[in-house]
Amino acid sequence: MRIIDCHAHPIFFENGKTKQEVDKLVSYSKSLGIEKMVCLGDVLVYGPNPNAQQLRAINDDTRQLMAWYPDFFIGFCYLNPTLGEKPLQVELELCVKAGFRGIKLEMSNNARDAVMTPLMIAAEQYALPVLQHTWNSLHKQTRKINSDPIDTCLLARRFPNVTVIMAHLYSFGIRGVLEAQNLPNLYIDTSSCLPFAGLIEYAVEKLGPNRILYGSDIPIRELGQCIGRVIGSDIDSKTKEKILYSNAQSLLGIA
Amino acid sequence: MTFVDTNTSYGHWPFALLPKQTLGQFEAHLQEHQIERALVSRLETIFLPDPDRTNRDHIRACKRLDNLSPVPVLNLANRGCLQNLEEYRRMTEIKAVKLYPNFHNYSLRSTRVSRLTEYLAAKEIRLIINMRMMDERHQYHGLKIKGVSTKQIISYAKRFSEFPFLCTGLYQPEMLAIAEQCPQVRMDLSFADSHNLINGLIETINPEHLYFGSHAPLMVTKANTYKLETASIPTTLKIRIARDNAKAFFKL
Repeated sequence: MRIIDCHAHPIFFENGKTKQEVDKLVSYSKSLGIEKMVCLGDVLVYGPNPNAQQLRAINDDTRQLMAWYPDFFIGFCYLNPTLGEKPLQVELELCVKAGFRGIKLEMSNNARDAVMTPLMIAAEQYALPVLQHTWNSLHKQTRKINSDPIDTCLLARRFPNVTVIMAHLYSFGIRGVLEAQNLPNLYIDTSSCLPFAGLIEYAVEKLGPNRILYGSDIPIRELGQCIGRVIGSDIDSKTKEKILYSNAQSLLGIA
Repeated sequence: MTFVDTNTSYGHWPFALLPKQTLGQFEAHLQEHQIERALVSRLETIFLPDPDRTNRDHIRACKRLDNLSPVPVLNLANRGCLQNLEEYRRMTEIKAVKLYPNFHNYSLRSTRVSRLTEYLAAKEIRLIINMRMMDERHQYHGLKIKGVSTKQIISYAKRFSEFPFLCTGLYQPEMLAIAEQCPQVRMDLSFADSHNLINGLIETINPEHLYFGSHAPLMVTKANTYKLETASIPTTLKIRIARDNAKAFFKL
């Protein structure tokens, strides 16, 4: 079983930073078949609205992980769209030069906000996928910063030339899957929350097998549980292989 | 590695896309996942004001299957639960009974809970208290039931400090909070989740008090078996949590 984990935070609230801790995580992950892990950064360590210096520090940590394990970690550049175009361009350029392969967005704003435009134009220029934290936020105050699946899908619709990864299937659930239909530039990931039955099967039925990516959200979640929810789902083995590995392989251009 | 599953249900859950199964098919599904024995309640009992008839049907159905132990659900908001339990015991050997205090809308401080506890202690029947069926954050808006509070569990456990019981559906922080104050409480792992979970838990919780629970069919069975199979803990400890702790506690 080969796995690419598309949603991981190897460093979380400053934990997991030492070489020894990273060695342990990589070794354990490999023992489960994980060949590569997308490192999204320590995204909440400075709260939901980090400044440029804080973003740099978070992305530097990711750079360090990539330097230690260049064949294992894939960096996504963590950005805050509310900081404006210039700081965003500077940080993104640095990350691209360092070999980052995507952009990570958390909870600094809603995906439907106008501040997203420069970021999405930059993503298109660099041909980088944008992974957007997405949570069921309908009728909730938190929607100002927590993108509902409606918002993330709107973002994908507005920028059809950018690949958008809508994170957290187990939060956005059935409603999010239905929103994601007919959006060929939108992928979903299986990360986070508890492994309630039926959702992966439903996502495959509605979206087909090619736009679903395996993700864990480690260390918030246990890797075994996250893998088990895919391998234990009632879908064919070829589709499991696509979700666990080959969809991400194609998307991230892994040889 | 084989498992004894302390947290399974059979029946229809209206808020999830689950395949319809006979009880025999459900048993076969568990066996496919190396679950050699399971304690099973009926899902419908959660929604029924009087679960008695469903419990009886369930006990009868389980008699035809070797690997399922029926766990009747008692609604202690109702009069007459102990008489019902007596009847269940005449029908089969009852290893445990289960409570859903929040679905059935009663407090663990009620006199009926005290009477039941005394009865179970005298008859050596185990008690299972279910904290929740779903993650409250993602419940369907047509059914929003809060989990049982840890405060209630702790208060109950302190009142009956010599009475060990099993709590199913606890989140990891709740497990740690309860274990610190109530060392006799046993817990299943179905809702507990974080990297390096079990090593974190056993810093506070006696490993003999941790039990495997799949929460099938509501959760993906393999997710919970694999969580334990792949844990970075010694194999002997895995086997205890997967099977032996529950076997001893429920005398299976």
